[in-house]
Amino acid sequence: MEVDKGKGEAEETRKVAEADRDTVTLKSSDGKLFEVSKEAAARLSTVLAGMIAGGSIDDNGTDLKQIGSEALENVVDYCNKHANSIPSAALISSSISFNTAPFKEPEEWERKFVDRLSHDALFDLVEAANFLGMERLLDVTCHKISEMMKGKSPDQIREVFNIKNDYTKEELEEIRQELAWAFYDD
Amino acid sequence: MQDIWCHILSLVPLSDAARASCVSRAFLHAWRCRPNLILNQDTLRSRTHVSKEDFRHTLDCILRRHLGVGVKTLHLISAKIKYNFPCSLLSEGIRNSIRHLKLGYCAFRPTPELGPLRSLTSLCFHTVGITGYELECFFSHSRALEQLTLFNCQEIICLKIPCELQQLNSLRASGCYGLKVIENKAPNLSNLNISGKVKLSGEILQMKHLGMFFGNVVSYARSELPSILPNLETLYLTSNNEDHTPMLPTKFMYLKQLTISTTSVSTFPPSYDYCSLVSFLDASPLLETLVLEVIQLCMQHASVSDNSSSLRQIDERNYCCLKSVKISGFTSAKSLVELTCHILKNAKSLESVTLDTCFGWRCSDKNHEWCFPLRDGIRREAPRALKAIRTYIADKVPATAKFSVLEPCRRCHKV
Repeated sequence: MEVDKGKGEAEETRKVAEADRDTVTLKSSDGKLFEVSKEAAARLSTVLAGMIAGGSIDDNGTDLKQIGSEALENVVDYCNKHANSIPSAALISSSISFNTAPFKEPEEWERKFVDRLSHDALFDLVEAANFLGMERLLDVTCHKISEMMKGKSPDQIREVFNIKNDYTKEELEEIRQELAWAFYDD
Repeated sequence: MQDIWCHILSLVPLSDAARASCVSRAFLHAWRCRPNLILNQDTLRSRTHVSKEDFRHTLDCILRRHLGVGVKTLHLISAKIKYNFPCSLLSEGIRNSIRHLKLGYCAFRPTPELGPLRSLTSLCFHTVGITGYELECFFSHSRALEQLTLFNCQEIICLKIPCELQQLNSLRASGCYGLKVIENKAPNLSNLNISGKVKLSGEILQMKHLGMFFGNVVSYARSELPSILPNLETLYLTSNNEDHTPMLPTKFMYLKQLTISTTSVSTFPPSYDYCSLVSFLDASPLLETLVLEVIQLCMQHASVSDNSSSLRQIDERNYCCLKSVKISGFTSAKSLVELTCHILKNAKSLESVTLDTCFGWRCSDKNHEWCFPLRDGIRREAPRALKAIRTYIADKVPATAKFSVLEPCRRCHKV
């Protein structure tokens, strides 16, 4: 009995300690561990907020099997940078909902943050942000990709983003006719 | 990834997104699902197809192809082309999903046959041919409306807002010079912005925030509003001419924030006695914030530096809630100096006092490379205003208040 009680207490202490910790540990698909501020994680990711609130955060590293270590490192980096930057009105109000609130331009540091990423890293980060329900990071990364598309022809876009043309010649002609107005200046 | 492409393509300009449809089926799908359609001469690249028929045809094509895919925002500005926006383009699919609708420079004639727009929360008509009756008809289909903006819609004379618009909280009607009456039955409309003297009737006691713009609006507001809109918390008055503000026993029992902005094409009438604004302070026992903005090209009021006779003393008051006072376009006008001294002496809880000798934006503000340009008249007045502040005002600022005096910009406002 005594032993059991001690065990229970230890378990209790561990839980309290966990609840008191101000960071959470995340584990990438390839097993690497990352620490991130609990407050920032809960504020920036709806998925992590749900896990923290639901107590499904594992002290030894919460498994995020869908996210590779490079992308997770960027996610954590973004959360930490975000925690250190002064929250502006733009960021607070951008958390309303996907596709409904008008998009708020990235802040200077967010721009720099995505500018330094390689092509693949950027796309991996978009998917990670989408998976974790990080609306602001998704907006910032998508905005970067949208800027990369500006002024490019369909051929150039396929080349830059490595996209396969899955149309037949006839289909393509039909679309060009339907959207002729968009090609007037060409 | 498909959802993500939809999101990315919703961020690129409209015609780029349309052209990108040729990339792959996923991109075409993203175009068809585009939730934000901002259609105007620029986005439709219509420099080369300016004819009415082309414009109409293009719009028709786009809107018909976007049936039932969740258009949330539709802006249609047809400047330069006389365009009659057909109700039929608001198909059932669009009607179900649309949240924000903005029409500009066109005619819109909704009929009772139009079905309900269940998600429409914000509506803006800019220079749209629509009558009050037609608008009423549109309201009957738009029960979810929260914000309504009407700008330069000249056919509207009487605006009747039905009680079915339970969510409507904000109405802005400016430049609608035909508008004479707003008859409101929407129970939660608390935010109103109007230009021109418009008669307000119906359910208006709930109004909390009001902005008004017309000549003599300050004296109108002081005399009429306490009885019509007794629950106001915020009042924003813009005037281009004022006689004087009457002293009256009526009160604004809940007013917390008062902004008075006077904009004159030459000078604010020198006969106006700024001290008559004491009437507003006396009427507003809960007032916390006072902003006074005097925008003019030159100052012709009697200056305190020309007239050394002693300043008028106004009887002691107690503006116990007043925390913040900002006066921009501050001059050495004697009555303005007197008003400022009076406020400083009688507001014991002041936390912040700002006197700006200029008005408009500053080059230090975000997005502005240069300060708002000031005419010579105001730039020359600034040193006199600064002297008046040093001589008569600085020593009266309560020790607990943060006192800021803003001088003209050394770079942009050189005399």
